Amino acid sequence: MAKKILVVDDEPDLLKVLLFRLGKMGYEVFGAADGQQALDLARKIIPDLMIFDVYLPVINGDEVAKILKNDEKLKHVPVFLISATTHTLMERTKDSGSDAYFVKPFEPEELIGAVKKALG
Amino acid sequence: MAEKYRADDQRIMKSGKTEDIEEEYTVINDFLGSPQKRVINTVKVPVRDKEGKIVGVFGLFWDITERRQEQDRMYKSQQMFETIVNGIMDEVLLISTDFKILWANRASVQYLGLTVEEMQGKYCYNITHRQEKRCKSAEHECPITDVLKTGNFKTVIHKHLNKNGEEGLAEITVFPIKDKNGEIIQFLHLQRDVTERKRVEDESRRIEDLKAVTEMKLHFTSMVSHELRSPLGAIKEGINLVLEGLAGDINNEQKDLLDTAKRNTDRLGRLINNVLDFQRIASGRVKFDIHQHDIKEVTLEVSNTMGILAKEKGLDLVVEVDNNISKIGFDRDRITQVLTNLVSNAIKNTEKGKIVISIKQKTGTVHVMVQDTGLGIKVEDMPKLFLAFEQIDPGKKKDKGGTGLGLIISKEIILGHNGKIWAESEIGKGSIFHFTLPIK
Repeated sequence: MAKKILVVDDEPDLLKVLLFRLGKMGYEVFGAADGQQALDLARKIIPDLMIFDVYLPVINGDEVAKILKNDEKLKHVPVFLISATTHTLMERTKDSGSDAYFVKPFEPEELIGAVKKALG
Repeated sequence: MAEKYRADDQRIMKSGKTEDIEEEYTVINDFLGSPQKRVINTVKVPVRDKEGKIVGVFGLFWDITERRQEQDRMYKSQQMFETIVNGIMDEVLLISTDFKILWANRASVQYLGLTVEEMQGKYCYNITHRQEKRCKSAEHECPITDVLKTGNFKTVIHKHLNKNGEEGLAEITVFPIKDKNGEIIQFLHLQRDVTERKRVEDESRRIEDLKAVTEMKLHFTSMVSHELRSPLGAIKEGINLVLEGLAGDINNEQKDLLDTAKRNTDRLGRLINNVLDFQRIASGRVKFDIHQHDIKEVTLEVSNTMGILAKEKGLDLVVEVDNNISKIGFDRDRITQVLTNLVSNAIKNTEKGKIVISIKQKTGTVHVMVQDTGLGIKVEDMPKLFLAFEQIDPGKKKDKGGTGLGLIISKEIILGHNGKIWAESEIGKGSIFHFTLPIK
């Protein structure tokens, strides 16, 4: 069965191309546009990898990560943070317990490599 | 005492002249209780008979001790007033209710270049404004007029003229001097030159404004850069997906066009990054992560990466390093950025020949040089090299894909390491960019 990836970004165009690429790589992809949707969907589908934009409506991506990293069912699921704002990204990744971060716009190889590594 | 009395009488009888004598006596009488020094004023008048012959002396005397003491007090008080007022730095004028100068202190004498006597009796506006009429304009609001109306002191700031006729900004406070019935009898006109203070105030306000503008600009640039970067991600990824054939096969012509789009998207991304980087470094927001590193190792890394680009243009990229270069403290990523920038510029500006990176150790510093055999830089363009957004000769030069910020970012990085950065160049022969880093 295909591994599940949840991608959350409030920019629909970027979400679309990310989901397209990951879908073509053979993963089952899910998208959400805000932090609350992300929380609800993550708990429902229990993905194998989660990719969150930092600045999101309702709840920020790093806050969502922090909550899910304390959730028994989800705490083992790797989380990547992505953001165009660089200066607090490293701290946010560390503080939220996330596993990696990517600065937008990132090279596809960077993300592909990291996804493949995380999902084995 | 009695003898002196008699002598006075005899003298007056002889001279026939009335005398007004003021003398100090020690007096004892029933009223005073104990002996006291009193000042007595005596008027002695010769008394004549019908023929005009002096037959005696008529004397009248008053005890004027209190009056004399009062006069002494007045004198002392006047002296004290003048001493204090002459001692202060502010210009003080005493002005009558009809606007005439009665007295001026030493500071006024110096400021106006006139003696007290020259000022006395002149109208204040003759002296302070060199005018024939009383000041009425809004610019020259007359504080005396105001005090006359309200009875309270008044402070204004307006232009006064000094002895050389130069305008200075003066802060003037006029106080009413009142008699015991509360009627204004004179004005105390206190003036202080505030030209310098005003200048400093204006200057500090200007600096504050400038700071606010800089802060706003930084915020704005950072916001705009972020907003520009976000859509760039989707554009880039869209192009990538099609280029990689993930959305179906593409022919060579389509691939070529998409390659062009991708290259320019990357360039736009670099430009945005450089603008952000420049803003952060120039505003001092970047903290350098200084550790001991081997500059040779870093240089070789850069040369390996950039060697590919040089080879593509048919250029040699050579590294020449002195033996025994000390490890020195620097921010590895930032110095890599500087080297990459210098080498990339050298490659861009060189059509044939080679690029040499050399490292030498001198007293207290490590000296790095990036030398090319390119076009060279015109003398008049040299000063613009390290300025923001100054690409040399944009009209004549082919587009090299630069952002115009590389050198200024490099300069800020090197300055942040307490190093120096400079360039030398000769048209047709090439350029050498130098930087030094201190050995601690």
